Amino acid sequence: MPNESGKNISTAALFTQEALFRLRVSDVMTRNVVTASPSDTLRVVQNFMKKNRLSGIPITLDNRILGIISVDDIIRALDFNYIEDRVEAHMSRNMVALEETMPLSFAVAYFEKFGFGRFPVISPEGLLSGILTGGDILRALLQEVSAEAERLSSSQPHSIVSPRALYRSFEVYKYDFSNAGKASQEIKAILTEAQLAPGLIRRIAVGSYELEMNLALHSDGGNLSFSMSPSAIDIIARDNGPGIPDVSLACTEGFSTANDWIKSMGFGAGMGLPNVKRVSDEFDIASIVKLGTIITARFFIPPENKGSL
Amino acid sequence: MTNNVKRATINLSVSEIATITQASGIVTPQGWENRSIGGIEISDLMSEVLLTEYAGLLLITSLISDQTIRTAHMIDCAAILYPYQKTLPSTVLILANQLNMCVLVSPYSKFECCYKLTQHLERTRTNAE
Repeated sequence: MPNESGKNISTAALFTQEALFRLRVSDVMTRNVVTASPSDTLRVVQNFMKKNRLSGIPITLDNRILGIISVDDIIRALDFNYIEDRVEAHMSRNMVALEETMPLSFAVAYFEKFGFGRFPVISPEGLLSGILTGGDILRALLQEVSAEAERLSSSQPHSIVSPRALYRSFEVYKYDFSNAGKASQEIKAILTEAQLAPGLIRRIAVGSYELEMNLALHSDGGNLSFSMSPSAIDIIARDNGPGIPDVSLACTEGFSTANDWIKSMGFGAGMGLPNVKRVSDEFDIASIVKLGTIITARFFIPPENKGSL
Repeated sequence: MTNNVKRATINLSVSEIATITQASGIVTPQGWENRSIGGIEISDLMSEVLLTEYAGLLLITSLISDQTIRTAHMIDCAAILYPYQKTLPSTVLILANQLNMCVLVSPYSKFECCYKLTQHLERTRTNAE
């Protein structure tokens, strides 16, 4: 399957990439977390690790995470003979936690960025809800790919979405005003070819185009992906920064950080994100300042349209 | 997909629009004369145009860019009307042609185009009554 750079990418690789965008941290994390309290000794934590074959344990109080103890901390405690000390004196307090709702692609970026073996996961209320390791991610992706392979092999020929329509990915460059919109043009052409209802095509085209212009005008550049299954279409905009400090403000109609140059091009009126939210059936946005933003717009395909796919 | 934007619906063909505003077609895809216009949007702000809910719109705008053509394409506009006999760069014309977008140019200002169209619609309504 050709992508924008003309390279051949296997369907499995494309599906994996799509799953990374689609799955959330909460879909993949281990929920039963072994924890220790700050008053436990390092010896107790060492025994927890040994018994449960773990390489790191979060330290919590009332389910709020205070720190983390890793195997390295235990080895150091044994080397320097303070294994009977209380955990709170030696735990790492400078932690990075993931949020449940973050897309898995964000988590992968965290593993690359920080080089940690695991990340605690916190709920919207700030409580520890799970832990995520590289192994969890690998296991989930293998399950996803196997399930997809099973689905494809057991589906009737007429219900298989053509490989061309299954997944497309487009690079969008910062301030590339003349090319911005080309990806959405192509997405619209694919949808027209798939004979979806004109109203649905228009909604998806508008959502896609708004997200693409957003990438070109407000981000440092990124990627717009399109995936189509028999039941839904996902448009995902993923950028490399600068991130949105206040997501709910950015989704408020009329709020804009656009400069005069962008406004002179007919955009930047603070209507883009609210409009994507309006036209889509499901809308999700996750952003971290300096790291980037991922916006997902999902459109359900009504049953009367599914026969044409 | 709903919003609070209210637009009057009309029923005119693109050729009728061209006659009323004395516009000439500078990009004229096959069958352009008979395309049906169901509403009119007058704006230079593409963010605003993208709020449109229905197909078959006439977009009256002064904004000349690829993005104007793409915006019109995304919402299934029937035609774009430029005022003041504007000259469009070849890149814009090529894109309009590629996207099957009908482009008209009128000698009148946007206000005058709107006035003439409103006059026509009023006359039609009165005659019908």
